[in-house]
Amino acid sequence: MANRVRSTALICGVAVVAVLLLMVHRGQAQTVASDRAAGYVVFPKVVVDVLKTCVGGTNGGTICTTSVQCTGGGICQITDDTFHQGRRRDTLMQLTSTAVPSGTDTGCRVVECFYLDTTKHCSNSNVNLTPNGPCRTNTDCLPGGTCAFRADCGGETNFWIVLSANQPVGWSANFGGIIPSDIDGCALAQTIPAAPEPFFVGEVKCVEVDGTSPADSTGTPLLANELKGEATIYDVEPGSPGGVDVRGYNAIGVQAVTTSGDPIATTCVGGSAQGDTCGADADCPGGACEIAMCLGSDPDAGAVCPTATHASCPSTLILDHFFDFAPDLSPGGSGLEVTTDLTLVPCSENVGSGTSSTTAQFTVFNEFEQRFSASLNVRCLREIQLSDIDVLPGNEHASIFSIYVQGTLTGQTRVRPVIGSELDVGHGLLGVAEEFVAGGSDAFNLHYAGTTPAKSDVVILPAAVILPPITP
Amino acid sequence: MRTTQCVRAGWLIGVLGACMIVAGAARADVTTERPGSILIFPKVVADGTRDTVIQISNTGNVLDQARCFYINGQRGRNGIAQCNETDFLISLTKQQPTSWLASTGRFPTGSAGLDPGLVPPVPIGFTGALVCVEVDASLSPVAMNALKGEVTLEGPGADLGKYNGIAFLGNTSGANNGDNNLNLDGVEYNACPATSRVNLVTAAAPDPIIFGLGNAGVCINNSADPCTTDADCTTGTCGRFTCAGGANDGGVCASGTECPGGTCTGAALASVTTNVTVLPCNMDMNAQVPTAVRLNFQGFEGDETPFSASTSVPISCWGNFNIAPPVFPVIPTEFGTLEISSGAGGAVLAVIQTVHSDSIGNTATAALNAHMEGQCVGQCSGGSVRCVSDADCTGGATCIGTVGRACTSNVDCTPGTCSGPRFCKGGPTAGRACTDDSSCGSGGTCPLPSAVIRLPGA
Repeated sequence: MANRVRSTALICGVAVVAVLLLMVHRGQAQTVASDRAAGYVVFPKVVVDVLKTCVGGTNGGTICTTSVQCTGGGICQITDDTFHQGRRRDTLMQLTSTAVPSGTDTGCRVVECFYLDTTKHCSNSNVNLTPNGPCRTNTDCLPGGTCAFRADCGGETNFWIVLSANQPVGWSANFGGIIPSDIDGCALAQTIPAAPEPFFVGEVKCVEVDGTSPADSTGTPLLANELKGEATIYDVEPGSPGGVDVRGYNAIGVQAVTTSGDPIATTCVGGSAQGDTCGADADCPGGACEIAMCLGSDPDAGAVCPTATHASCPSTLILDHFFDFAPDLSPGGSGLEVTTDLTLVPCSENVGSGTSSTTAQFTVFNEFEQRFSASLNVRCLREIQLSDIDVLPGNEHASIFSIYVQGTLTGQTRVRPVIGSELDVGHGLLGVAEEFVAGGSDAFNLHYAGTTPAKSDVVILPAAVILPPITP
Repeated sequence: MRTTQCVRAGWLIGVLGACMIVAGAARADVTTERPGSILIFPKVVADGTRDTVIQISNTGNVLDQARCFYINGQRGRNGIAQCNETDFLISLTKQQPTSWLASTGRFPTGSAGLDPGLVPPVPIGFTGALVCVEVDASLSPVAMNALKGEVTLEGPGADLGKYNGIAFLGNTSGANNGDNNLNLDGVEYNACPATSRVNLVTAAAPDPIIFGLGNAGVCINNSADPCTTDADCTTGTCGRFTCAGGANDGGVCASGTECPGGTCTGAALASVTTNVTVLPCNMDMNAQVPTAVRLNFQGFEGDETPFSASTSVPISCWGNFNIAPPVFPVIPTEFGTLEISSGAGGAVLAVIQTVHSDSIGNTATAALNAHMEGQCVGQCSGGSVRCVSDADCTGGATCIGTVGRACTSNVDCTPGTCSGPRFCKGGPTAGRACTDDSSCGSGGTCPLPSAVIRLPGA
């Protein structure tokens, strides 16, 4: 009996080591990072703000989207921004394949991207008298109207591109873009569509998928890590004296757990077979066979993601920042104040059907080692100035993110998403920060700590619709 | 009694193993978004028109001390970077953030918050780097992996660009010997990345967003008013490019009409300049000897056509260059990508700053961290010893894994690890980057990756 106890204890000890070794191996294998190539990249903040009106003709000044709406020979062109801020806004996105040809692998990669439109809209008309027009707050709507996300967060617009080995591409969210044909013959010239609205706030997500062209891809993500990206947000003032302001950040890459190049297995979502691999809806009684990327694994019985296909989202986001309204330190910044905006987006996404809601807990440390906290609900996409997190607009100086409350220049804020118990959705968050001083700004990537413990985030891609190749 | 001891021993194995493994699990690749034990800011400028705000935080729950070193990359009268260092000590309590302006430093009085220690100002005209290393009370390097930071490059004017400090994680399971030679070898600290990758809008191409929304050109009439399209010019057209060759070389043009004898294919008036700052990973701050490296470039145009620099760029101590002619060729496509690696002198770190200009001189900058790629090293069969060839393994074990392959994480190298670049030792190609012994010629070897930061004695 004693021997048995000893053996059991030793086995248990060794088992703990073995399990941890496995965990470590898996934990080290992949990561969420904006300085590494990955199979799934997220641009958490993509914005467009232009206003097109008819110029010339008989209805000059009328808001339009195409010249067809302009009568008498008028032309529809960009003349302003939506809410007359005196600057036009657009986002340049750059995406590069790091694939390298090897053996029979030509290095050609099919990439499916999604614009996720989280623009808010008025329940009535906005101040430009556009029915259900875009808005930022209720004040952009006519009296009585409310400004809110659409029920599904706004839906998605997808497009497919083919990248040859090491091919860099870029496009404007406002204008779209054209990819030249490549010398390897992976694809002819291709077009990238513009964001779905001229006032757009949302995300772009791109994922390496199977196939050799959009025509034969099923839209199933590959276990590969060959995409990198950057976004640059522009505020541009035309005319004299004019102005330019830009802020850039690296797209956040979510690495696949292996780089076998194989497509991930489709998974039952809902029903009695949830989490099982499947080939068709018939394999999922009461549920549907979905293309589900599993960002981490969930050991709970019946979870959609018993095994991970991609890296787990971080358990904590760390932001170093100046407290809002802190004086700009630079000699040229005398009298100027610094503010910081934070944009948070959910890791889990049912592309085309929206996201769940997540509570973000903020822990703030000032330079006296004093600790404060706040919380914020995140659904769809949350873009907010730090000092608006815990107080109503107009009271920012009383915020715990204000220098007037903290008394020190800088703070460290740790953002922790509150993990739920759902089996089909996670509550991880990703984000990017922007720092503003009058006349200047830049964006930067957040730091991460840990991974979401024993919970998976789930990204469900829309059912593959085989599209013909897009050519200019 | 023995049973009890054995039970305890069994669980002790588990617990100790767990501790060691969890400690080991903290190790990962060099990173710009996780805290580390060595924090490097490759670009710090305080030259009178530009300045730099530095932010550093302790993300841990115990006091964290760091020895910090400004490395002066400013060129002396002989045209060579001075490469002298100025060091100081900061102490951060749990989760404490701090900040200072490079040109003024930070003094105990007049700055709110717990005093992290006196931070000296940098010399006038400083262009260089900042390196901070976690140390214990005796100022010996330690691995707590709790430092993170950002810098904000300010100016000219109110313009700013911000990037994350590059963090090297230290080995928390006993591999750090605490001496002043910090081995960036994947064992004591992370290895340096083999390659840094930069995506860019090419130098001659117009800035795609300003071109479409802002002041893309000037009216070719007497007004020279800024314009986006011809519709903005009451008379004449909107000239958005410059003449290449001919009598009006460099003049504004909308078409070849304005370029007699030349073509309207010169640089766009609304442009982007991509500037790269590099810092060698090998740093000898003790002897204050500049590290000379020779950079290698491999680029690809938008249609995948490869390009490379006309000559390798030599860097001593600290360097800064634009991805533009004459060092780089004219890239005919709108976008490009460039891999930066190094030959003799060892690996480098890189950060990017882009300058966006409209047609009448308004400019704005953005700073970005470069993407980093490693190089696989193998693992001896039946163990976890790193190797690049069978000769590195003992007891008949062989070196397995995809040795030499470019990688972004360990998963690309299974069962090996994604580590830094390697350079030939001995042989006819000593100092040249290599992937295996055979690439180093007769008598040369391609050893495990390593770089060393030598700190001055404390």
